[in-house]
Amino acid sequence: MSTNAAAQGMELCSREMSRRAVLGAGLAAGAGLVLPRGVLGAPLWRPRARAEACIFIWLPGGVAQTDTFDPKAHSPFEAGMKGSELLGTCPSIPTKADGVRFGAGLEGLASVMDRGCVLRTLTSDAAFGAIHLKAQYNLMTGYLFPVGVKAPSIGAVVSRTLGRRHPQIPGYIYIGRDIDTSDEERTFIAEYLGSGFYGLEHAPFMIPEPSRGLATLSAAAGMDVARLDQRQSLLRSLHGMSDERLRDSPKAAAYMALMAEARAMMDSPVKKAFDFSGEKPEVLAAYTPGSTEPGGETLLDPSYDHSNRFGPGLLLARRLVEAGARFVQVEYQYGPFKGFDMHENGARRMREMKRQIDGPITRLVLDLEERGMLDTTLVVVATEFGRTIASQPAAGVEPDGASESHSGEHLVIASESMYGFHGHFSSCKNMLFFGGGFRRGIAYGTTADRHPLLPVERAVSLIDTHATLYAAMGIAPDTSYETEGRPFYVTKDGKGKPIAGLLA
Amino acid sequence: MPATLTLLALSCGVMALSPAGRWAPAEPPVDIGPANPTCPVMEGEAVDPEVFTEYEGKRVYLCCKKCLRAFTENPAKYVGRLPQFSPPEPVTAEPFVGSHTQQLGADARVAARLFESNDPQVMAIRRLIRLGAVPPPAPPPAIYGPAWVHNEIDRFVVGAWAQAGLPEAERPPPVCDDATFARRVYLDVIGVVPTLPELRRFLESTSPEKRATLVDELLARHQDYADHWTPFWEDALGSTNVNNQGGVPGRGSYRAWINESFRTNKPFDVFAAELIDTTMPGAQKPMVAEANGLRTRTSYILNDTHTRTLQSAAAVGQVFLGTAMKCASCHNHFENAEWPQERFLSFAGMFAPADLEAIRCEVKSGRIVASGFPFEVPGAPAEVPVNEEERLRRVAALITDPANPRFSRSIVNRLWKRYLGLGLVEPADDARETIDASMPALLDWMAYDLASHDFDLKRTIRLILTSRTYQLRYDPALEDHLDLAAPGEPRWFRSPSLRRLTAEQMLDSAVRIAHQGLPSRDRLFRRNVSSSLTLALGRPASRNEISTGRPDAPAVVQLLELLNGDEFASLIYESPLTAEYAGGHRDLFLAALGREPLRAELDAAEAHARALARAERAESTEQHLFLRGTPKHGRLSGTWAWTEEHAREGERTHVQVTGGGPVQHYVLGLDEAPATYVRVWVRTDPADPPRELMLQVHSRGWEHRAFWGDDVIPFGNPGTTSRLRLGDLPRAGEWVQLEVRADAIGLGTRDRIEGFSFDQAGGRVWWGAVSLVRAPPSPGQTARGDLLWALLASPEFQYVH
Repeated sequence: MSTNAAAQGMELCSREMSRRAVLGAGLAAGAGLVLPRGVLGAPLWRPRARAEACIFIWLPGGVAQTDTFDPKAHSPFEAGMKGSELLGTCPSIPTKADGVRFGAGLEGLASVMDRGCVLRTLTSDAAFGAIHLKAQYNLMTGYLFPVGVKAPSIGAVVSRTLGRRHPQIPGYIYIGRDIDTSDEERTFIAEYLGSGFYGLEHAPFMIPEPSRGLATLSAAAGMDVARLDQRQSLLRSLHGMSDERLRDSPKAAAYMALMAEARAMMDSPVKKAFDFSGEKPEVLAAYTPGSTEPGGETLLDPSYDHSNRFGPGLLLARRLVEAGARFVQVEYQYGPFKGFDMHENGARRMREMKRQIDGPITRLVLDLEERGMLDTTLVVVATEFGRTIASQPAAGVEPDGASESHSGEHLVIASESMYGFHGHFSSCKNMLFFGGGFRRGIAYGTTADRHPLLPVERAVSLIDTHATLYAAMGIAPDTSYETEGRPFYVTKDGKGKPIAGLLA
Repeated sequence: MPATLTLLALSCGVMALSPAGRWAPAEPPVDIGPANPTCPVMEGEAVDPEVFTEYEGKRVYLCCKKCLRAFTENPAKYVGRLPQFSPPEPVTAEPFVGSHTQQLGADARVAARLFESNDPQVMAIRRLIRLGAVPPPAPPPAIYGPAWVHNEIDRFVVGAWAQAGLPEAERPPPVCDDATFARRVYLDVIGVVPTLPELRRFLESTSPEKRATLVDELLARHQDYADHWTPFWEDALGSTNVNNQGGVPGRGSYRAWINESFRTNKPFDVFAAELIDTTMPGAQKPMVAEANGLRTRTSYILNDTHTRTLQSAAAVGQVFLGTAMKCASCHNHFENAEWPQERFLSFAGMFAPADLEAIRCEVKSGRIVASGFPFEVPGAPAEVPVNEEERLRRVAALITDPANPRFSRSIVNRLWKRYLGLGLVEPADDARETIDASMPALLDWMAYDLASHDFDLKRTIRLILTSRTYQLRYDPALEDHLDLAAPGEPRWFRSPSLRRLTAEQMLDSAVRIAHQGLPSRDRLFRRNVSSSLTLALGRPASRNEISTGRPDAPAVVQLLELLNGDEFASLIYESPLTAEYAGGHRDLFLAALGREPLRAELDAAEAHARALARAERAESTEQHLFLRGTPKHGRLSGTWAWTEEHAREGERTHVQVTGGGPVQHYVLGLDEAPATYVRVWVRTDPADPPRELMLQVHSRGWEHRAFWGDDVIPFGNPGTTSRLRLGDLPRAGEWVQLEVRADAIGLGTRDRIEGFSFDQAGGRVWWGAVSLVRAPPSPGQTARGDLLWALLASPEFQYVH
């Protein structure tokens, strides 16, 4: 019954919202048919919400699809091997999904793939070359920088369109990134993760380190909650005595109401979510893989070791969603040449990084399932682009599009440090979805088995991927909000079209 | 009457129309400008801006080389015809002579030459001559009565009320009191509230002109005035403190250039032209930025790709011409018929090295759109120069041409919006023919007045701030509200709109209050790094996109920062005003809100203080570590040798052998609560003293260090919290407890302590126990802090009212 309704929904969608139809509308408007204000703001079709909350796991740096979710032939290192021969640095393993294989090192995720699906052919309209940040901006907002408008990120779209689930839990929470704007990269990142022109109401609540809590939610040193309340009552009484015209002002009243709301948030379930003491030791252990391999040897480079944040961040995200959060993004904190941004020794680095994510994400999926929340909670795992072979380590030496066209025939892998996937690959990346109304136990799309590893079957655009994610949450792809006197859509130009094959 | 003098009269006409009311022109008689618009030899002939000579210290322009010779041979013959050397003509009621315009417009050769350069001298002539091409606006309606009108602005406003039959035309609403005015005008002109002495001086003055005098004094504080304008223009121009945004070369930083332009009150047309025509002497020169191996020009106008050219053109249109055309980038504007795509591409081509191709929704058409200036500018040359540099020069000249009233209207509308809360035209970035302006006659009059006074922004600002309209009392019953769905609904300005302080106004004011001063170098706009507080208050971390207005609605994330954030708390509780404050609560009200408190308000403040004093006072606590060994969880590094040698009763000491150079032994893995003081016992050997002792504290990094003695251990930056000298070495041969204030080495009130490092340069040292002291502040100090917090967090402080 419900499947049927969904299928009808999809059909309606493809009929009404096809790219051509929208384009036609645009051209008609261009020819003089001006749509009245307001009509553009209201979507023509609203999808049925399957998920009410989303945990968006963000792995910036460029995760090599070849060693993770779309493995090809394992090709062990041999000095002098050709680039064309390098198709995988690890063997592949079967997963719980029929016929779907992952790279070794992801045994946990493999064991829960019957609850999830992997999109293997997420392409890109743009070649990002050496530039991570443009690709990240594109993935997080759906638009290509520079846009000319402060584009909001996915979390802000969800927060604005769906609002809070619990009145005292912010609509958009961000875990795992420092509030740090000391260089141009971090400044840029701070902007595109934000709410853009939506304003501060939808700005993310930043929780850099789960173990430190959200600083503003616990009373500052030397200040306890009782005194904080005394002080706030002093503020109320002074405001009550201020000039009556100021007291009558709707703006002043709204300000005072929000101050009370801010205080209420200090007692909200958000704060309780930070207290992990009720979690079982084995659950805590699953979320904290630590920095040492079981053999006890490999230590992650401390400069990108965020093992104390990422896993606990996912646990916190789960607890927040349990308490009523709408959208929580958890990042494995990115830095240039750190973590997944591997430009040398990729084989070894990949092993380390897979260990960092495999256990915690697996546990998250199982936890949600055990609590009966997986059907209504969408878990997304995303990165800004894939990877390919390259004559790196120097970043950005190839012209744009080089990796999309070369077969690796002329590349020689001379040393072990060159062995791995070190090139940026704009044209294809993977994305994982668990629960939240997505299909389960499938891989979507096929890529070539030889370099260049381009999609050969069912390539998918980013705007359609965003449309699918939004559709799962009940947000129409042509939802728009006005800025500068014109509508700005949640998928680029309102043209995103949900992919029926990904939704259950 | 000779044409020369008619034109002169034009520029003085505005003054002549001023009533001899309260706004008697305080400025000197209008300078007739640096130039003569017509040739003194060939009378009536327009001058050539490149032909001139100096005579008695003044510049004289002529129409050709021949006349130049004639003039230099016998200046006395012609000097009587020059406005520079004759007294201003009495002003006529109707200064405009249409025939003169036609004459100027008819001479295409002269017109073309006028647009060939944007040298500020040429711009001055161009202004004077070209103003003749526009009819002057209607004068303000005749409304009299000194209590009702201060200047022309009020006559327009009250006239509009009368026309609409509003009762306020008969019984005008009252003006605000002096204290409110002072706060309002300080925040508006220099971006911060007045200090106590400044406020007292103003309140105690009995001069009837004291408000106008204060406006003049503040406008004359050139640096402060520029500091307040700078963040607005950084947002509006998209100035970034980095040259590279997301791997894309950006516009670079215009901060210093903006600040200097406003400090020197650069004419606004020159300001705008310099952004576009970078060959102008005062322009910021483009830089070559390197990003990911690509060398690209960094500049306000970016035209390296089709998209960037369109974005640059749209930004200029939005900010300087008040019209939004971005939407027409790849199709005709859906909602504004003024912007078919071709018209926009034609305009954008003026900023490009070559005419642009029509690309409709990402499909290239192969069709090239001829560039051109899309607004009617009578008498301006229509042909478009071929090369990029000349195109930019031309478009800069056309945009700023006084005969292009969009330019002057757009900026006076911004000024109005800045000081009254809403624009006469809304949205200020998207004026449309289909949306009515409120009080259009006032808009036109102010625009013309600005253009005819050398685009001197301070003049218009002064007009607004000294108007009675600006000084009206805030009244929510009369306040205008903007409904974005009906922006053409009239706004009456019978009360100013409540305006939220910007992040810069709020934090700079708070610092100024808490520290009774704020040097320009410490103002927030100069900070390159953002904090969670500045982000929550709406100050952007970077400026990837342009913006002429920040959101002014409060948000929970923001109020949490004010309620409970560290940065705002430390600003208040660590201020000298809180700690060493001598005055009564009364002065705190004056400092924070700029007014005397009511008796009941003082009572509330005192009741709060008494309640705090009654509450049990927490005692200082002291926690000891390393009395006999390492605390649990501590992970040791370096050579720790525990000994009872020289140890104090019941304790042990830890020592380390040195080869003469710096050594350290340290511990990590602790998790101790934040402290107010860190103390360490130490004993040095008189026979073998070290050169230096250093204590490092680990809290999210090691950058918290204090040392005694010589500065030889090279960690951190000298003179900062990462390497702070606290005095000489302690006396040798006995146990001494060294003390470090936690905040002196950068440990905040929430920084947990994770480790210590004991460092010495040479010598023999016995290290003893470490103590962490936690001291609560005194109740009196706390009460003052709480009151200051309540005042600064109140709507009365948070809004300009």
